[in-house]
Amino acid sequence: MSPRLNPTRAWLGLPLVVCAVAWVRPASASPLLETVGGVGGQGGFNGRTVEGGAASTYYNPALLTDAKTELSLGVFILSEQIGISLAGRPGTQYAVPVGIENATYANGVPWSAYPIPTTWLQNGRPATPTSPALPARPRQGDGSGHDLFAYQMIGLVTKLFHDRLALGGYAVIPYSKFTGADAFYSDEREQYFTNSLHPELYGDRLVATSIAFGGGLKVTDQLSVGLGFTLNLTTEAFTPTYVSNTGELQNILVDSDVKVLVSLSPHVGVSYKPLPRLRLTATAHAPEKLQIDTDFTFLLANGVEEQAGVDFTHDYMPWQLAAGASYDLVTTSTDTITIAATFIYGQWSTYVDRHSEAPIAAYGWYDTLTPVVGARVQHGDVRVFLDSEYQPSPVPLQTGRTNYVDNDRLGFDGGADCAFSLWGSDFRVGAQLQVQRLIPRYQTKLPTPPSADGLDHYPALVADEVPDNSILDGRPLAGAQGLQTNNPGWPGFGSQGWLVGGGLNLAVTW
Amino acid sequence: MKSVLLAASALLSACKFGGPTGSPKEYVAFPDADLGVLEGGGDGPEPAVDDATSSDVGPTDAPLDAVAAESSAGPDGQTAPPDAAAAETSTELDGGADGDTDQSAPDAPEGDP
Repeated sequence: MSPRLNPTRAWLGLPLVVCAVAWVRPASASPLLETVGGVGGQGGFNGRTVEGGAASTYYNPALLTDAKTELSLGVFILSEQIGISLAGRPGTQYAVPVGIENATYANGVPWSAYPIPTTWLQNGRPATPTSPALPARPRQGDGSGHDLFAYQMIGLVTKLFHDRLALGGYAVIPYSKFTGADAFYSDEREQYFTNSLHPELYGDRLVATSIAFGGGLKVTDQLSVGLGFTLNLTTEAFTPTYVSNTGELQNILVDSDVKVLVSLSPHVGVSYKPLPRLRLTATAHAPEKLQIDTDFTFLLANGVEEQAGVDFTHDYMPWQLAAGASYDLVTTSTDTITIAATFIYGQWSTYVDRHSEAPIAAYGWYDTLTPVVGARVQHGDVRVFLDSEYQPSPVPLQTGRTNYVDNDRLGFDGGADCAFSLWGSDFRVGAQLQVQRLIPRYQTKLPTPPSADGLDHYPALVADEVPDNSILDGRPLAGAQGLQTNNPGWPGFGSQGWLVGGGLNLAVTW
Repeated sequence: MKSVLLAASALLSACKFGGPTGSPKEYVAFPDADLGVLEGGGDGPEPAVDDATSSDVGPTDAPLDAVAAESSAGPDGQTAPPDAAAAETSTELDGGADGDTDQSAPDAPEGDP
């Protein structure tokens, strides 16, 4: 029996935990950890409820008190295969015509934005004596969703004060790049860039830097509490620019002032065993995001200076609250069979996309409840686990202007490890495999009513990019009547896919 | 079996809360805006688009007839006249999907280009 702490004294530490949660501003992200679950150990998708070695540092640091002191290394491979299919455009009357650069509303006011002629997007535009050729960017020609990622897992657990305090570190770092962040618009504005749709909650979110550290405190033999942080980077970039000639932008002069800040986002966990075989857990993970703030100043040769700024929000994760329970069905000297379940509430209604824009209210995102169930079997030195989770998509059907691509996801995660001794040291070697299915989904855009006055009276629906009341050279603009759009998701799109991953890990314990 | 699937579907749909507020077909009026209205509907010369290319089917050559039919059938509601628009700030069109109904398409095209 280890010495007991005074529970009253231990609880005095909780206000410090609460203060830490309130003080640290959200700035980091860990969508990768949420998607793949624990790498190494027995946590799997149930890492918030079942002790998972070093991985408990992120999922539930209170469980670190039950983990063995260890140093673990692992390699994990994840294949992302998400297919996005676009419905064919039904006719030429919906195309943005050529020669609209000087078109205006009926009263002569220029449009607020000028789309690119549809035929130029699809086929490009040949060079002219005054301008170079414009490369084609056909719909979904530059899509994403097919990638293979490799990660290095590093974990550490150490104990202090007669095992009352456990400290942990856990990192899953992509081999390809330390972190990645690709921004894209989820409506017709993407025509100016890739002219394609992209999975909203995967892709670059799977190469987010994922480093967590924390500690767990065994308040009593039945109760443990934990506090952890995820570590990430915040980037601020300021680029003053001198434009000597607006007709020769290749000759601009640019300075840069870039700051990379380390920031933290907290999470807390509790583990309570009211019965020897029963464990109850609860966790709270604060919102996380990778913020990139960019500011520009443009100084022209005539002395005019203007400033602009663009903020990006990557890897956004909302508040996540979880409750779970595990129960030992069988406990003998050599065998243990445990079942576990976790329910994770995600406040996705607060989602902010990569351009720091919230989804429009008519297509506001859902909050979700993710159920996870699983079982663990231990026989001697061998342990096996299998988990299943259903992650409902927070994204409503995209029948309007926006094209957030996402699917409900059903996943299975299993693994096994075996302990052995070699050269006087204790080791544990394990393997893991997971398959996640993004359930097929299809959506058709709602029709956009015509607008005689050229105003966008239905901002939630696909925008008519050529106002019906447009004129050109004093005459009505040809091809302006009805809907003309380059929204890559119009008139509909579907998506489905797979995430398949696996890895090996090795831990030395003492 | 069907009842089991329905029950499972209902159970899984209970995993979502909140979501969209308002209707995507809500009409937003701009009482102070005046960009002008063309007389006679703005019929001009033929559009300067390339028929061979602007009817892009996209990288997936699986046009959905239903989609095309629905889209070319035109809107299922009418824009409120300018006078009415100035008098009220928002109204909602009748009919059509509300954006919350699952529109699964078993024959939806698959895969990227």
